[in-house]
Amino acid sequence: MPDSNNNQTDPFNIVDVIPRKVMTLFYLVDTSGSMAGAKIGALNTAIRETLPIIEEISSSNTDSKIKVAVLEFSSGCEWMYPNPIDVETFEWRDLQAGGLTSLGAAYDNLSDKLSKSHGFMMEATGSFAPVIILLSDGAPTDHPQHALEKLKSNNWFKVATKVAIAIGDDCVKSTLIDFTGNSEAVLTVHNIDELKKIIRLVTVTASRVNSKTTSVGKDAPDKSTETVNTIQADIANDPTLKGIDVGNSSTNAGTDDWSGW
Amino acid sequence: MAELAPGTIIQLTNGKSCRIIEELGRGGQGIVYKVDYDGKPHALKWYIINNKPAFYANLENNVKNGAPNESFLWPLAISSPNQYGSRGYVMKLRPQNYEEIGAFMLAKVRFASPEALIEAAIQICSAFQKLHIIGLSYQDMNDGNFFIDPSTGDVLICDNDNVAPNKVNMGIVGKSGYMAPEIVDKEAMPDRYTDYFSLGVILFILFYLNRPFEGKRVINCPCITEEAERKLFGRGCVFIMDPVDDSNRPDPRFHKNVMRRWPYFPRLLRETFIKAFGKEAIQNPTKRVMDKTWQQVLLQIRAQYVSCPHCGRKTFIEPDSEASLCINCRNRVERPIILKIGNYRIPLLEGQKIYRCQSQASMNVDLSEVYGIIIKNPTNGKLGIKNISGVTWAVTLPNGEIRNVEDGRGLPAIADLKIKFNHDVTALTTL
Repeated sequence: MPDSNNNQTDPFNIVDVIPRKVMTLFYLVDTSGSMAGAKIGALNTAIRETLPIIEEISSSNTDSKIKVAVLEFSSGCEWMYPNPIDVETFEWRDLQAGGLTSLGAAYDNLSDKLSKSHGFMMEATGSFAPVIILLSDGAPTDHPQHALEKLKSNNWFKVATKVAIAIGDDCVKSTLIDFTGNSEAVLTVHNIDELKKIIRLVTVTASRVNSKTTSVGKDAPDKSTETVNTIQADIANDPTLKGIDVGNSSTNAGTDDWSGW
Repeated sequence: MAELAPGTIIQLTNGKSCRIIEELGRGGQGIVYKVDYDGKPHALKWYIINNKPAFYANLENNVKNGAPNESFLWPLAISSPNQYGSRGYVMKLRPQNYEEIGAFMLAKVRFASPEALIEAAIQICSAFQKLHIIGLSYQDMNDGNFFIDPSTGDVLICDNDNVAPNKVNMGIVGKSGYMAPEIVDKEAMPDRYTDYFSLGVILFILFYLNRPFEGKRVINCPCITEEAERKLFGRGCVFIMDPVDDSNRPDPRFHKNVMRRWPYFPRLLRETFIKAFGKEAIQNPTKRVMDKTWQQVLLQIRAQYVSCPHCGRKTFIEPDSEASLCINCRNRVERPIILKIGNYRIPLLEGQKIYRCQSQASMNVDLSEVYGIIIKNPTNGKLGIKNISGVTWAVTLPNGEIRNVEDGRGLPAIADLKIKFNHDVTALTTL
């Protein structure tokens, strides 16, 4: 059928993009000295390789667009960029490792930014609950309990989907369970290959589930539960991920191999 | 359940098999592969989630019963159990020129014309009418289920794996904002009445390119949590154009499409959406606008999109108003002679078509089949109605004289004619 009204005076020829909410994907990355070498290298590579998939999820999404924010913590903590950035234009800067593990400082900083009035969440068209992915390989060198209590009283944090990736056996898993509030949302990896795969799996699944409006129905799970269940099912169904421990499981403890690629 | 490598052969319960060619895409439920089936490329949806045996039994039943009409990318065959840890079903491939509704919402594509848009809406309603009439409901309707050719409005409906008898849910849930309020409130199971609600949402998005329940109340909500969604899309939802309750009006900064388009589409369309999303229809599923009613409304507004006698470009006119303003040249278009057939009011302007579905009692016909057309006499400039129906019409002239108008012949488009199209249907022309 020909375009019979190919003219700007025709109101049907003017179309604006439907307003979308924003779903912010937070990475909290441990860049302490023990992460140096293969671990931080794999992490940088994995996130770089994953972001184009997130971009695809965002660009065809009618419910929300996805923004990315990265907070690294070592002897102090620092945001990669001063504000969350659309995944389409986000450029990953390779993180370097060195220093202590100031997790408490990271929690404090995150609490400040999870705010509409003075933080990151001032989107004009509204936000979905964020996704927060914490990656760590050790024990905090500050005392994060007080900061975590404060963070847990933050309304954005309360509704966020939280997943933690424990990089190796030296990571204090209980610290990560305190953060997620759900042991099933803590995943322990023991080598570079698993680390790269789990970063991709967690990022993609969490982004896909949390960037859409809620599934509804009598037995519909909430977004956090759906995210965690999907990740677990994917781990169970992929033989190359069977070395990953979910929650308090320690089936694969002692198999750490960080020797490289 | 493993992913399927190219070359993998999947056995089907109908005794045939298909061979994996390549991955086409993936979502939360499964991966879609291009496969070779019956000597032609097809699509295979392969589940990566665990479905209950009842889900596959229902799917098999749908395969057996066949598609309600040609708009559905219906399951053609289902894989036999116990292969590569999961199951899937074969369907036709979506042609290249079809776009998801999401692409229209994100302004990546647009309809070539309002005719194409109306055609898409008619095809969607017809498809669901055919589905509902055999006791099935679609259940999980959202913007990802429809593929539309933007130039013609031809529609293909995918994701037919949740289609099931009314009140039987296969465990897959829908999206808030599309699902009926009682489902969002977790108080009901999907049936044709919940489909009617979702159908209204899809139609609203197609016409106005904003969402019917997302106005100021959503903009004023900083974090759209699941609890907030229940308030916004459950029984407490408010239509953004509710004539009485203005608490959820479009925000001029963000909901520009609906604010621009609302006055330009016909009054009948506005009134039907107001009814479809009124407080009564939100609370009481039996008060919803049914697919058949939508069909009639759309056939009527199709007749109201006419060529402006001043500028020749197309505009909507109101058959019940003395005059309408052309949306292009802004000139007054005086009400032309109107042909009344049943509830239809067809303005007789050059190029107008009289469809077979309007000129007989049953709608169970091809809705694009033309019975008559309005033509202009090149010598005197007067309008006439040309019979292209294949049958003879009996026409009573204003002076009482009865004349037969055979196929291929015309009669002047004047007032006070009585046209008998067939035994059941007689039309009148009025000023």
